[in-house]
Amino acid sequence: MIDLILVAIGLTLIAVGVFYDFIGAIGLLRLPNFFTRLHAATAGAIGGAVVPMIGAALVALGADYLGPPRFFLAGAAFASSILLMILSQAGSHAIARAAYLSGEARVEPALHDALKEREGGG
Amino acid sequence: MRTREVVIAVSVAAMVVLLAYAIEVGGLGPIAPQRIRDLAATYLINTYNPWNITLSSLSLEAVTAIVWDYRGIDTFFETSVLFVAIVGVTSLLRGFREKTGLSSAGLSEIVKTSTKVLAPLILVAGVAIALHGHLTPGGGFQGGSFIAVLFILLSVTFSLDYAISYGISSRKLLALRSGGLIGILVTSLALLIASLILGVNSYIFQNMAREGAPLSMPSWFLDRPTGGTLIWFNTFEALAVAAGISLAFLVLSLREEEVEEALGQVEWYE
Repeated sequence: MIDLILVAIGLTLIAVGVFYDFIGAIGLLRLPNFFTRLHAATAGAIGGAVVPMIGAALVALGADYLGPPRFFLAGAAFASSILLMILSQAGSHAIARAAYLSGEARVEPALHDALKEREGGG
Repeated sequence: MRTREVVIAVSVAAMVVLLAYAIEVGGLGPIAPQRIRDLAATYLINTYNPWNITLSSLSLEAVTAIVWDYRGIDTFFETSVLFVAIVGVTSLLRGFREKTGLSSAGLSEIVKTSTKVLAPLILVAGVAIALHGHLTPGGGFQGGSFIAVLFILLSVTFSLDYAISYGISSRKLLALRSGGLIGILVTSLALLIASLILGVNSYIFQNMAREGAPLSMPSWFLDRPTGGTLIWFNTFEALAVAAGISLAFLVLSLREEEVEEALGQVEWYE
């Protein structure tokens, strides 16, 4: 019974991941400027990779027929999801910062640019 | 324009579906083949064969046994290609000396914190891959590349100045790399030297006892198999590769002020 619940939750998380990947792909094509598109890519990284990896860990835990190796699978999936959660935001942040500071990506359309105000004209 | 986009989208989707269909139909055989060739079977049987040591290398990983034992000289020259390339890089930029106090302060605090989390993991993974090369897939080159990646990552996120202020310089890296190469040389000649002292026959790159050459490297550390020479080769290769690739990165990422100084010194040499 507990196995069935684990597999059900895991498959749900994987389905959520597919949804996020789809949203991320649409956003990457349709959003207006570099930073919003980077935001869509980050949604794909966290929602579309971290969440389904936790789901895969739960599915592996619930899949009784895999035997003891399923704990290795679950542990590896869980650990890499945590690492990806820490690292993907750092990568996106570094890209966004470099693009902003070098002035390669124009910040338009923008309603309010707080960083420009603080740095006194970017 | 509109029809062109539709055509591109449909053709990409069709290619993905066709590739998936082709893999589904013809690509997924049994993962381990049912029949293996006699040569492969010989290596698989003899790689760890404590009952007949004259054919074995007492390593649990067949790839490492072949790479560093059965065809050791081949690998030695293969690995020296990389080091000759690194010698070329350093001799092109001779007279190069690292300077501190240049502009860059590295990336932002968020990236630095994430790198601090990641750095020990990369180091542990690299050392484990190198030292377990005779037990699991991997080996010295792969582990050394991991450690070199760690150096590159740290010097990008924390800036080269930070790495240099911790005492890393191209001369020290060159010395480490040379130490690794000397280690490989000593390991490959160890049994030959021992046999000259003891007055028996032996070969270069010998690992376990062979027909007419009775000496073997110690192949157990407490209760752990070490594969004789393999763990030494992997350790020294990891050291040499980590230092060599870090050195190439350090030399190739030199800054404008350093180039000017290096160019000035070349004129002195000539």
